[in-house]
Amino acid sequence: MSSAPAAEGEITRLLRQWSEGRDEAFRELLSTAYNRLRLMARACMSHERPDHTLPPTALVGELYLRLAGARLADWKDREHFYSFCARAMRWILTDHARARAAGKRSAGRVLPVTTDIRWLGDREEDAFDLDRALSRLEQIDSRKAKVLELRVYLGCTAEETADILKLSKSTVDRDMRLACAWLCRELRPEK
Amino acid sequence: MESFWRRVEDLFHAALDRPEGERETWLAAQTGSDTSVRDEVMSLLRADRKHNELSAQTSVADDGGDKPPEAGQRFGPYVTERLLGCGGMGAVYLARRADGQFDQTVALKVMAPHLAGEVFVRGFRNERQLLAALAHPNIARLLDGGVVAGGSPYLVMEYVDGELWDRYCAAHKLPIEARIRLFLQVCDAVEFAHQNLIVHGDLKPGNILVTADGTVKLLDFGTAKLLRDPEGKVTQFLSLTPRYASPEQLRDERVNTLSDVFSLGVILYELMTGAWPFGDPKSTGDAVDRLLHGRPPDTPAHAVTEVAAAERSLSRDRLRRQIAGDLSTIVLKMLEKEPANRYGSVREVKQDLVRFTQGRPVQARPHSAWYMARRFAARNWAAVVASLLAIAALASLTVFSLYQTAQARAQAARARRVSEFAKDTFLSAGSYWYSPLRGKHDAIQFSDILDNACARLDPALGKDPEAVADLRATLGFTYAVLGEPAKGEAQLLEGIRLLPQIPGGAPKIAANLYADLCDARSFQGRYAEALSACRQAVALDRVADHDSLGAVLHDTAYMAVNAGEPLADAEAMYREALRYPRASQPSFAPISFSRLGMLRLRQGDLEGGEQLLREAEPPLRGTGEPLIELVPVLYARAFEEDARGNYPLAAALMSEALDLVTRRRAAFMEPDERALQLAAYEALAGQGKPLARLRDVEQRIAYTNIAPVDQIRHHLFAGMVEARCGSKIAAEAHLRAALAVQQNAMSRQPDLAVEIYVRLMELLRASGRATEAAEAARQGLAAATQAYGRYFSGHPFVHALQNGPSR
Repeated sequence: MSSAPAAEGEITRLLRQWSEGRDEAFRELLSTAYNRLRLMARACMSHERPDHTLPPTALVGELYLRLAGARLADWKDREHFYSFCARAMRWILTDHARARAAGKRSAGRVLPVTTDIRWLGDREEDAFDLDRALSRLEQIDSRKAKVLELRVYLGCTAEETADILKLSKSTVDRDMRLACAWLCRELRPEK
Repeated sequence: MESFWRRVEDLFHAALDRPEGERETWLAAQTGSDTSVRDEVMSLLRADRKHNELSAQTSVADDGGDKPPEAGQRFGPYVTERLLGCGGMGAVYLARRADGQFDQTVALKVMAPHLAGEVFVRGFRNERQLLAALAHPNIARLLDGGVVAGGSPYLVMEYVDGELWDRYCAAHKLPIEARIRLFLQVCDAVEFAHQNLIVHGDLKPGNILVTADGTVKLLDFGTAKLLRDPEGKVTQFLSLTPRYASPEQLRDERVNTLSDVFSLGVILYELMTGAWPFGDPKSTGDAVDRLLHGRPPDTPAHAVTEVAAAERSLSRDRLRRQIAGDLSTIVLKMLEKEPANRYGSVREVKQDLVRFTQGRPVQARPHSAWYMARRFAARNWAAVVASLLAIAALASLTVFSLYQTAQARAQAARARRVSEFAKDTFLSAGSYWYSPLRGKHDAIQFSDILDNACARLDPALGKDPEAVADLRATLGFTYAVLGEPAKGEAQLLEGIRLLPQIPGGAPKIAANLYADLCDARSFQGRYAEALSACRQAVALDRVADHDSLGAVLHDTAYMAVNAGEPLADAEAMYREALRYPRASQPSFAPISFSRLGMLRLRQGDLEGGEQLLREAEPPLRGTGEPLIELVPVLYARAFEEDARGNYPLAAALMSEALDLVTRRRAAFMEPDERALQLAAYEALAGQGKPLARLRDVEQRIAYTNIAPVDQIRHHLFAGMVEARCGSKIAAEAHLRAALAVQQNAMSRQPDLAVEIYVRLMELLRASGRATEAAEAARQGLAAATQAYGRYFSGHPFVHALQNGPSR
């Protein structure tokens, strides 16, 4: 149709600025991708069967292609883009859970997009608690928070996570093990 | 902190490498007196164990990545023998009763408790009771059920030794009739369940087995739910297979028997054609199309592939012939988007299918042109008459091949006259822009007739470029108004291509082609290209036809505004248009005044704009039912009141506009767009339910892939609602997106930025971000300086921006 959502160069620039710590750029990116991301989040939320669902990684891939095109093929941008999408999904899903809780609708499960941590999402409050817990983990160890974010919100496998963050798979596995224990302690504290 | 955490991390992993019993002692030795590190690591190790336990409890069912537990587990009196299958919902085992009471082979389904907490288990118990009562030869019987110690609920069902339905059909190369006979058994089972007030909610081939003797067995009433549930809520999350789910299920609404009719429709469609009705089931794009845009099903006969035909022991052409006609009509009726348009019950589906197999006429109504016309008639008689006239004009085209060229030309002239008559009578009578005929959806069936006309055009008239060009203009115009502007555009461009071959250039035909091209493009939201076509038409009409120059100038000005041209240029064109003959038509002047009024308002001249709008309003309002062009007046006045800060009045004006648009169903006056604007003013006025309105509208409107001017409006209004009633993050995202579009595509209309900056400043101020609010105010004032010129100092938006950040 008439207008492309944003110039390709624009997205590259915003991704770069965001990765350099300019939070404003994240918001601009979000506004560019917001509608699609919300739809993705919806597609991920409404069903549970991985074999019939649109997997979020596939959706992100699609989004990546559509928004960014071939010019954004280098590693650096790809990492930023996936991190951006994971962050955006986190916001959207958390917002969604909040709206549902406020509306007292029978909730259904907002989480998890992943099947990595099977107990996650058993409780209705998990969606907000996870968001808060991730924020705390970011303070202590941002890499583990990033690994967790990619795996939980985008459903990335260990291999994909390693690929995106340019870590070895064994590092991702180790990070994930500690992050899971940490998360379990935060969300399912000992009595 | 850093080193503390590093040490914790290292010790955590090192401890994990040791046997569990030794970890604590080992850790104590490592940490010595540093108890804070030791406690932290111990606590994480405990959490790690808990994480593993919690995950293990729920690992029965999975996505296939991890394996469910081996067979040999005990569930009550049953012992599992082997895994039959597993999905996201749980695993299914072949099991045997182990207490020696009976020797009975059963299917045992273990639900994955990770899928839900308490609510799920309650639903599961519910399901158990329901299903126990459901005894039908085509439904796998529920025998028993319980909950094991770990919390996993399980069901014991009749074991069906059969093949999956789709594999059975493919393996036996069943022809269509045999497939329909099997399908009728499925219908029997579903109908029986419906009579018992149970909705399946997840019908799909994977839930249907066929035994060796050809009996169909339906499994897994996974989302079964009593219709009489007092709350009417759906335990939707239990499972949903989007491929077979109805639109209302995808929208998260209540499931009912008609949702099952839809799912059966998808199954029947696949059974006939071997294809998914909505494109490629693996394509994210197609799935998104369906989810977001409500893509209609493909015509079944078109979806047939060679492979599918071979699987049905037929050639592709024969299969096509077999499913075209009544069978297609039946399946498409099952797949209607609106539940009310589907069959009312599975019983009716069955009856029509039986009629089909007996060669009797079916009850479902095909969407013929006449059927469409009838539906049109219910809504707007003028649309019907105009459509019929257009079709009459085009029907005469199809006989051209029988005539000589000279006669064909006479016919072409007549067709054009009829079509012009339709245009003038039904499109120009005060409603040139917003005729219901410009709807995008309902008229599509007519395009078959047009396609036919196009296909027969060239051979007959190839030697007379003038006649062909004239006909292309008529066809293009008709396509465009009947809802297929892209096809219309192609016809018009074909016609334009012929112009150089016509001696003398036929300026009147050329002007028509360009004016219609402008319409076809503007219907697609491509205003800049529409504008360039319009300018050609103006140039030609200045030479050839002063009679229509006023109308063409009017259109050109409209396109210029939407294409982002400077507002003063558009204003000059509207003023010039008023000098030409069309201006004498009764509604032309008030319509032009309303446009001019809006342009004055947008240039900051609130007084002058209001004056023009006051002049335009009475004739458009009339004495009885107002003309649809009253809507732009209302909307301009709402815009003015918004600027002045009279939000309740702005909302009242928009509410009247929305009411008028909804009542008249005028195309290009989308009710959703008005509702969005109304929501924005309601939010500012603090009345109504703007957020609910926004969420409702958002299911249908887009923010991207539409004309920039619409992107800006959608983002601005949504941002206003979110800012007051919803998420501030979303509000900011919307407003910044609106700004980005304005700067990229509409920079020559700086007034668009002013209100965005006002709203952004208010939002930032409310979020306590004073510095950024001041920056937004500064940029807003810069835009206002450009936009308002000498009206700058008196403008309420300017006051808001000057005083805003400090307030």
